[in-house]
Amino acid sequence: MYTGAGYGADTTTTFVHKLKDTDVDESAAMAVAKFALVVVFVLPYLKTSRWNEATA
Amino acid sequence: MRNANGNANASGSGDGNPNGGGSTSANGNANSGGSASANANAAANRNRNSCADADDGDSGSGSNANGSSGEGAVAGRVTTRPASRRSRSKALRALAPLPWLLPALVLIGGVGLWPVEEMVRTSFLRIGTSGYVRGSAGWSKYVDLLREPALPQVVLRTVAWVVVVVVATVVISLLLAQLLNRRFVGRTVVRWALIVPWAASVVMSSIIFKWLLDWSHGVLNTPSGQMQSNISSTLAGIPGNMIVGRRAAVTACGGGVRPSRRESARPLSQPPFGNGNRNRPARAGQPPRFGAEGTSTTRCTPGRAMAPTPRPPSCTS
Repeated sequence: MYTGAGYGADTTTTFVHKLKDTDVDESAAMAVAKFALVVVFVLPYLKTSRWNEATA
Repeated sequence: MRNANGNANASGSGDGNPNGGGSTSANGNANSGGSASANANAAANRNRNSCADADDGDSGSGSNANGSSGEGAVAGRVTTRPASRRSRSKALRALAPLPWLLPALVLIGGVGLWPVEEMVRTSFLRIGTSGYVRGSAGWSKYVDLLREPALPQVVLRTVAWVVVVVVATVVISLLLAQLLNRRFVGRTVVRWALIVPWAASVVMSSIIFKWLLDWSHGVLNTPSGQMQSNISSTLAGIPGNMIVGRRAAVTACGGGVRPSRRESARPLSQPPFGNGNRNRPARAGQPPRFGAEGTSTTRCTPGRAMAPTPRPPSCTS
């Protein structure tokens, strides 16, 4: 559906925006998936960076 | 402690009683500590002293009005506070930082958590194009999403975007930091050129670029003649804006105008010198006048305080 010229550079953010015009529920589902994707990136970073340990 | 009649009494721990009273009074006898009287004054003292040692877990002898200690505690009396009061004070202590944390918690809840909850809730609803909720949709919207043919490419593109942007940002930033740490001609200008886009609002920059790239009347998308006119008119306004901006910056960082010695020496009862001398011709051998006689424009360098003009000795009072 969302393929072809004009859609070849979409990321999850712009994809949510385009889905919103036709199906709000599916757009919300995509937003949840995007949120999960962000969590997948952020949690390992926070785990390895030890952000809550005080520096001497 | 004194009772309601003003008599000195000896107080001791009395945490075992229901009121938490800390003393028993001995009316009319300052040295008879430990003897409990059953009159009304004793009750008044119990109530009064119960507040004094509310936070004090220790029991012991209180001091009377004359400063002498009175061992009022009855031997063998239980001196621990009730468990309910201890737990209540502990809970109050735990809630003490709440007034300071509350604004941040409200902000996190309103801006972060509530939209996420709404987003998840909406993804399980069946909503029409007009906004009406037609009931629960279950997991069907997620199934529809997984069936989107563009989804794999979109996710791959997003991952590639994240990786490339992070790596490129770190590498370019480190190189620029090394460069700007060295001394070279025009380093300040380059530093300003990097700082200004960072300090400018993203929304403002976006609106400017949207205006530049507008398909119908954007500066960069109009026919060449008109575009040239637009660009030239835009560029023509830049020096004026820079001058106005510089004047505003100079004024903001220290006034930019400070009184001369003559103006500083002027008594408050006399009018300023500037108005009457503005149109006076310059003396021979002196540069022409700019602005008022009583003022002088000075440069204002950010980070350097402007020294006040010293007053003549006659005006130091």
